[in-house]
Amino acid sequence: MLLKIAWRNIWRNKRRSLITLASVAFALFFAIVMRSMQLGTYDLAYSSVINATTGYMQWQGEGYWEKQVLDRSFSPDSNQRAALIAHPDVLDLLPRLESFALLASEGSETKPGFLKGVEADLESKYFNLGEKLIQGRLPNPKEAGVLLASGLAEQLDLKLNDTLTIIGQGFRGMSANGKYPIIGIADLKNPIANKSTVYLDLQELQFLTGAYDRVSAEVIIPKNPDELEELKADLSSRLDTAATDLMTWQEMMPELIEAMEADSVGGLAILCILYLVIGFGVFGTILMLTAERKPEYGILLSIGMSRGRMALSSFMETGFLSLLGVLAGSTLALPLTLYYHFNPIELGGDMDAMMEEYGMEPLLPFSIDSGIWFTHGSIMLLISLVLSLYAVISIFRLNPVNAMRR
Amino acid sequence: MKSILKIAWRNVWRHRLRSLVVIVSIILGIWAGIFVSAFSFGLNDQRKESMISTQISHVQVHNESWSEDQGVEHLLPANDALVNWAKGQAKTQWAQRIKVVGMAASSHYAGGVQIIGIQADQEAALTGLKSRVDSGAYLDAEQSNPILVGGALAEKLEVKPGSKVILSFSDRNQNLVSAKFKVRGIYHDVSSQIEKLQVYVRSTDLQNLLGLESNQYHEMALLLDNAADVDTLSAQLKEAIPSLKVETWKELAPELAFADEIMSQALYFIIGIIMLALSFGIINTMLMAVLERRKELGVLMSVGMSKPKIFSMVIFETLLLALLSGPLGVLSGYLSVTATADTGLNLAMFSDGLANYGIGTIIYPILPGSFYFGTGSIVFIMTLLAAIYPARHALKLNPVETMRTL
Repeated sequence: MLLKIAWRNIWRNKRRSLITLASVAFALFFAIVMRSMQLGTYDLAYSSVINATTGYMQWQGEGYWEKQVLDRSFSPDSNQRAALIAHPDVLDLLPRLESFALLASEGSETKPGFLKGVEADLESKYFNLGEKLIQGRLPNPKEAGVLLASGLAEQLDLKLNDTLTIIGQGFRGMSANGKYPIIGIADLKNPIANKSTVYLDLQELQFLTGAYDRVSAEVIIPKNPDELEELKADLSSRLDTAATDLMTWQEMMPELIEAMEADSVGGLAILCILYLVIGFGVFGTILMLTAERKPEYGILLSIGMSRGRMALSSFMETGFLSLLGVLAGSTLALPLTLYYHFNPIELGGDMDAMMEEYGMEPLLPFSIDSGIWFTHGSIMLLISLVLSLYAVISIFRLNPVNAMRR
Repeated sequence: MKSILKIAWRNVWRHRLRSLVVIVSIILGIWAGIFVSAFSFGLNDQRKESMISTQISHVQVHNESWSEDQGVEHLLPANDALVNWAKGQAKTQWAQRIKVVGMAASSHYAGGVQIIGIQADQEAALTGLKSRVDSGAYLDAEQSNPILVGGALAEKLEVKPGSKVILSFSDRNQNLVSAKFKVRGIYHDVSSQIEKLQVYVRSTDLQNLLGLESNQYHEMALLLDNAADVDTLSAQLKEAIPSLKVETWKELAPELAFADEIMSQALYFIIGIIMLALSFGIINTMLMAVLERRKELGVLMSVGMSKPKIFSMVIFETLLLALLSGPLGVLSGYLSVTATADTGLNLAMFSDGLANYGIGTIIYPILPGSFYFGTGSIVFIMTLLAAIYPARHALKLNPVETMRTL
């Protein structure tokens, strides 16, 4: 009964209700599209950085992350390694050895670069190394050779089958110099990595640097990347955490998260303003309908309807109205976000250069995380319901005689 | 006309609370829009200022081939003529540099760096490097092979003033050179990336090691007292010594130059969205104002008030709302911007993230005067547009029908 009254009340002034509904829908539409774009961009930034660098979690020698040098590498205990791989929430372990060196070609100047010793099959399986290959083949245990990032190959003026000279520092002060044929060239996408990375087979780099059996890190591939903290807690009880560290990507790259958060706060501030403005609009509507229904409320009250029921019905009226707005706004936002989720906007020109400078792909994908709809839908609903308290309060304060006098 | 204005003015105050809700919402919308814009402009300006004053300067001069390949051989042609020309320029600071990429190593760490050979006094005047030395001393004293290291790199190398650092790079004959340098001081920069990457040595030391003459440099950077003269100066220099590649900061860092433009577009878009949200409230309120006055308007029409007058009455009433709130909103925006412009807003909680982007933690809001005007105009135009629908609605009323009922 009350529901019916509330529903009918909405349509007593069709134009006003539709305008209010449209304003709610507009605000929500804009909020969802904007957040979807922001969060989608962060997701891409996170995943591209995670995939290009650390992976989701690493098992490292103690203190390695603070200073990434060969001397802080470790040799993983084979029993613990086996236990990790057998863990139900861990998909795999990828050993990596990383080192820094000067790189040179015949007749070119030296350039600083990073040597990465990897097991190429595993890197291809989890980090798509194989897909990034443009020429040649991946490093493998059967031949001594390196895979060069395409940007670096250009700078050093090197082609497939040319020879790369590596001048570096090995484990515990040993020198690590070598010459390798280039057996592959890969486009690493991430612009910074693409100008500085050389891939070798893990054993080859261990041999070159004299860091036998040692790794900089074992990258842990989790089954569920969203539950890293739980996994970390569980794993640290099984590993020797005195000599080794377990680190999640959030711990390894706090500045990435901070930079994204600073950006995100800016977006939220703008949404706050938008909600404020729309809130005023909704309040204006509630104000008007309360004022024009005063005589009616007076009559209802005098013929014995309880204030509580009247208040509830007006509360429900606002609730319905904003719920309709919320539904309309979210439905409208859905096709747009879906489209751009699957067909990300490609940034051109200046923005492109800007993103490249920060080491990200110049793409703008939208997020379709249902949390965005839920959060902003409920914020909008909550604002309307809080505002409708004005109507509720004025019903409880109503003096029926005065109300009917006009 | 005057009487119509008067009627409109009185109509505004017939429903005081309702009008106030609209007025307050417009004020808040404008204020928030202005403040967010000022904040963004402040952030951008600071980034630009710090990049220009500490990193790129206003104009840089290189060899034609430098941008493709930063090789030792790509020296500034006609160096003596260039220096003479620079000496003849008033109100201009300049410095010459040698730049080479290489590796910096201590017993604890080795990493890629850009080694910059400078003349101590020139660099101090141009980029204020001397004032950014935190511990130790600047490069101006007599000592063999002194080096300035950034704070972030010093931490990794575990060096302090007095420690030794080995620099390795290739000389002009592609031979690998390694030389011992003694840390003279630790400098800081707003960008932690720069601190990790750049080390400063004396140009004479670096020229000796590279096998260059003392008048051979890779780069000249010029900073003008008046930033507006940049284009004139670079044109003059191009004419004076045509063999040089002269680039202004706008060409060197297009993302900085276009950031202002991109941002003001984005901000106008956001303000437009806020105003659109506001206009829902305005349309609704004015529509209600017209609908509740149906009878009254019917009477006015039947006693001979012309349609244009009715129309302008509603338009005026709406515009009065905007004229009351618009200036107040712009004024409150202006006041809050000037109030915070000197003290700044502290964003310490995002400091690491911001440092990565080359921004300090205190943001000083600033807004170009045209933006206040632009915002004011948007409000005025939006309100005018919002008034049309209710005003048209008033015209469509049929005087006979409106007066039929009581």
